[in-house]
Amino acid sequence: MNIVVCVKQVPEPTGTNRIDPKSLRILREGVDSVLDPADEFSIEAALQIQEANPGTNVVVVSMGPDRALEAIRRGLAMGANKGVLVSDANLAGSDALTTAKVLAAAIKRENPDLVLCATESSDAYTGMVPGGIAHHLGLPLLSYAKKLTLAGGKVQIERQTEAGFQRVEAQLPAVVTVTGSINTPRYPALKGIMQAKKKPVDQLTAADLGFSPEQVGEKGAKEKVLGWAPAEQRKAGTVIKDDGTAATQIADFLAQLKVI
Amino acid sequence: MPEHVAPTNGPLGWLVFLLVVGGALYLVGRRIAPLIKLIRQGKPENRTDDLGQRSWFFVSNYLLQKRLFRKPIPGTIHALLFWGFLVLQVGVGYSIFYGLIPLEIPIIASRPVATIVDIFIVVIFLTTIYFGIRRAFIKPRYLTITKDGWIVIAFINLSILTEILIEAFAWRAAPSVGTGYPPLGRRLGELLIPSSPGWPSPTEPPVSVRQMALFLWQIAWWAKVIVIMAFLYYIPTSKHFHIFTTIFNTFFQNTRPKGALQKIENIEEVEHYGSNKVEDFTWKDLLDTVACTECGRCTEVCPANATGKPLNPKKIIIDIKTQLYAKSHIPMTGHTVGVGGTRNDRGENQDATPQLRPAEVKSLETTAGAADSGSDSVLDLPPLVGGMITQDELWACTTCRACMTECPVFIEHVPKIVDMRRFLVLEESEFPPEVVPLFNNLERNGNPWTMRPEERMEWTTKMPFDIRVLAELDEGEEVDVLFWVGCMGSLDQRNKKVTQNLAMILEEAGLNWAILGPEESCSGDPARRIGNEYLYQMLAEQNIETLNGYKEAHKLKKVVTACPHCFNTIKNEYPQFNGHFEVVHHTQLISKLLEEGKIKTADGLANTKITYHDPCYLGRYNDVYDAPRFVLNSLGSGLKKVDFVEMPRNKSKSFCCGGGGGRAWMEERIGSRVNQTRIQEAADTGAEVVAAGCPFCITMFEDGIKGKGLEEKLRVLDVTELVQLSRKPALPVASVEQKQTTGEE
Repeated sequence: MNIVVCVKQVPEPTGTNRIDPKSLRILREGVDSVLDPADEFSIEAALQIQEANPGTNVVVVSMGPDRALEAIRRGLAMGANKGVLVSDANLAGSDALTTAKVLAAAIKRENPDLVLCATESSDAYTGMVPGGIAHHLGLPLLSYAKKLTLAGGKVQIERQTEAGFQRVEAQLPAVVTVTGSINTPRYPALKGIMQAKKKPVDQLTAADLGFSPEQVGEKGAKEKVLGWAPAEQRKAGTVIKDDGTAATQIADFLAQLKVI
Repeated sequence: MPEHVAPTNGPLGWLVFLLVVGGALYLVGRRIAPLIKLIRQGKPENRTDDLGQRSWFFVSNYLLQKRLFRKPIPGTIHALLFWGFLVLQVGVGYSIFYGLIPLEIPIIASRPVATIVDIFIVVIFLTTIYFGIRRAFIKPRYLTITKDGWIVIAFINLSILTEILIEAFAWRAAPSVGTGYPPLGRRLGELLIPSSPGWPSPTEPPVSVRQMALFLWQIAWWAKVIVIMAFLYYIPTSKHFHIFTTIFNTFFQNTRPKGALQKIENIEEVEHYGSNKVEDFTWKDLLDTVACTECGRCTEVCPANATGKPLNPKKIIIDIKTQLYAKSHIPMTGHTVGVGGTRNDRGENQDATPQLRPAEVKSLETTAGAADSGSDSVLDLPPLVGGMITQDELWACTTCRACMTECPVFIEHVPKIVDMRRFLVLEESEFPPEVVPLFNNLERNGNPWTMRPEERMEWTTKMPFDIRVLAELDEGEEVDVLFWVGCMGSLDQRNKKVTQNLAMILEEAGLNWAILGPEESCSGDPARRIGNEYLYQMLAEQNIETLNGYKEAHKLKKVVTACPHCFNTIKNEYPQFNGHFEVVHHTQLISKLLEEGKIKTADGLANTKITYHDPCYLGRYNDVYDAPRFVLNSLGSGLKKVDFVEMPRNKSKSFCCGGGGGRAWMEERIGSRVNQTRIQEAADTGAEVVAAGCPFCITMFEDGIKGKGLEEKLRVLDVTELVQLSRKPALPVASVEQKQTTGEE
């Protein structure tokens, strides 16, 4: 069985993203970059399947600059078998749709039974790529999985919704996006980190995947960012001092938010 | 019969003697040779530097028994037994020698020497009575009680019994040589072979009686030789082996800074990380296990053990020894082994892990016996880590060093535990789940939380003066003191108040100081002690690069910090990575400032009852006990001083807060809480304030106070906060309202 996990290198998520005022792209230079923590959940999900089904091949696929190799290495350190990095100067400035198209082409080469993605990246948050991949591969998409099980050539998930969850399933191969509540990702052992250095990583260009320079990157982009504005500052919270009615006050507050 | 008689009675006797002794020593040698070989094959470690100092360790701690006296009663009695045993060797040596060659050696054969030997024979006898009572009736919970102890007591008594019998019969057999014969033997001789009126004189038996005495002397003499040889053959299977092994263990004890764990060199090229089997330990680690006397002093003081965790430092050592012995094919008297580790032969002692089922227990004696018959006994033992030593045991350790401080034979428990943690973390990625975010955050953010580096500056915004940040200074501008604030001091709401108070004091004293601000990151202490040496080295190297740069650029003289963990690792461990800095703890600096009159205290805390908790990494690891006490006793003037009280366990016997060794970042799932145990001890002194000098202790104790419902009775304050509180008029001390919630949004 082949599982492909899509990963992305993002600026250290605890930092504040800086935006280049001209290109309106996130500035990635001079910022610590890490494997998107959201992707660790999909890698972990794949590795758990691998542990339960020996012989399963887990491939980590990413599109990004050369240094995105570090993010792939992290996935390999966790236990994935192989990496694929699509890296090409022509790809710079690709929009989400192009990214999905390129990733889909790279994934297809791996002949996957299951493609796992995070629901969205922790830097740009478009959330469009998994859907795009499923479209280009012609596969069903099961999204927001908080639980994932494989049986009888099918994948079944519990799909997180606001009200609870839905149980949905699809015939393999399929694309599944996973949420942060699906598992606790493992921390790579040093042994894994060292072994990761010796694991194979295919480095591909857009041309390798059959794309001309016009089809990808800025030129191929069909989306355009028009502007940006900082999010509204979070208002100061309310401090409730317990004079005996704190519990009621908290309950009222939660009821007001319709949480309870 | 001539006057000079001897039990061996000439060449034939000598030959028999040589055969008996030679044969016995051969057997002993054959028994311990594989053990010595395995120990020598342990990982290398240099313990042969500074031979002068090491010789003194041997004198003070072997010959003079210094550490033993930390427990005065058993310590004194052990010392008497030990010294008695040394003196006894003079008597034993001479009686054996005389049995071979009847030559009187001046001085040794003299009456005073013989009398001293006899006095110590009595002393030895009395000490064995005490040790017998301790085993039979007192039964301290930390002592391993097995048949081994009784066998040793029996051997010791057989040894002194044969000695006085030799004295007695020799005196009757050859009275005229007996000028030096000792009072005990003489009296026993008179008792066993009473004088008769028909004798030439009461001390001159007739020839027939002498013949009989000589025969009895011969029996006693040969019995003595056999007892000694049997004892020698028995000793390697026994905890009593310590009488020899501790000669080496005191000599080869650690001379590096106590707070420095071993560095893994070339960490990216190592094949196997940490220790999970005998071969992974250093030769000194293995020697340690053979030096263990199973006295349990380590267990007695272990905070994890005292609060119901499965960790027992003695068991860790014995488990490693069990594997070492199994590989050496030496039986271990009185020990059984199974899943959960080694335990004694009664099962009533708490060495054992409670879950151990009898069916899984097998006698180590039979295990080793099977080995002799060809099978490999090691294969029958559960694996060391995860089998004999469970992960729960290893994760329970706070690395407080109480065990190592008490161990009379200088066994190093903590480095072994950390080494096994290294195996779990670096090799297996096995550790409590709550440690995962800690590692990720340290790696990504340089602090234990998801805080951004800039947030390290937040505490400075509330200060009434500007705080200088090294990165913002002009090159060449001199800075004397770098205030290393630490993650807790920079980012934890409660400890930020300590930081602010310390900053006030630094400013008031007119020091030329600055901070690193966003460039500071975790010192690495929790990572290293949890076993993530790789992460530790990354953090340490990064910090050292930053510090070395500024040391040059601004002529930094020293580093001051309020965190004993940062203090310890920067001071004692950064030199392993070429980071050499003079580091002081803030209590040392404040104590010096008070002495120099650069800051003053006032009477604001007059008569307040204050006790002080020694943080492990300040006290036991770095021997800083006096500076904080000096500061506390300097608070106020004359009759308006604070009322300082000590807790029962103080200074080097301090009881951990529960936060060290990365424990602050783990859940405490088993047993009662270490912090609550300690805070109760503080409350029991009647103190209103427990003073601390460590952000982890402060945090652990605030939790402990809440858990115990002591909010109305007891507060935890840093020494710095107390200095500020003592003053009138009060400086703007942010910390006074310390009972406020810690700023949850």
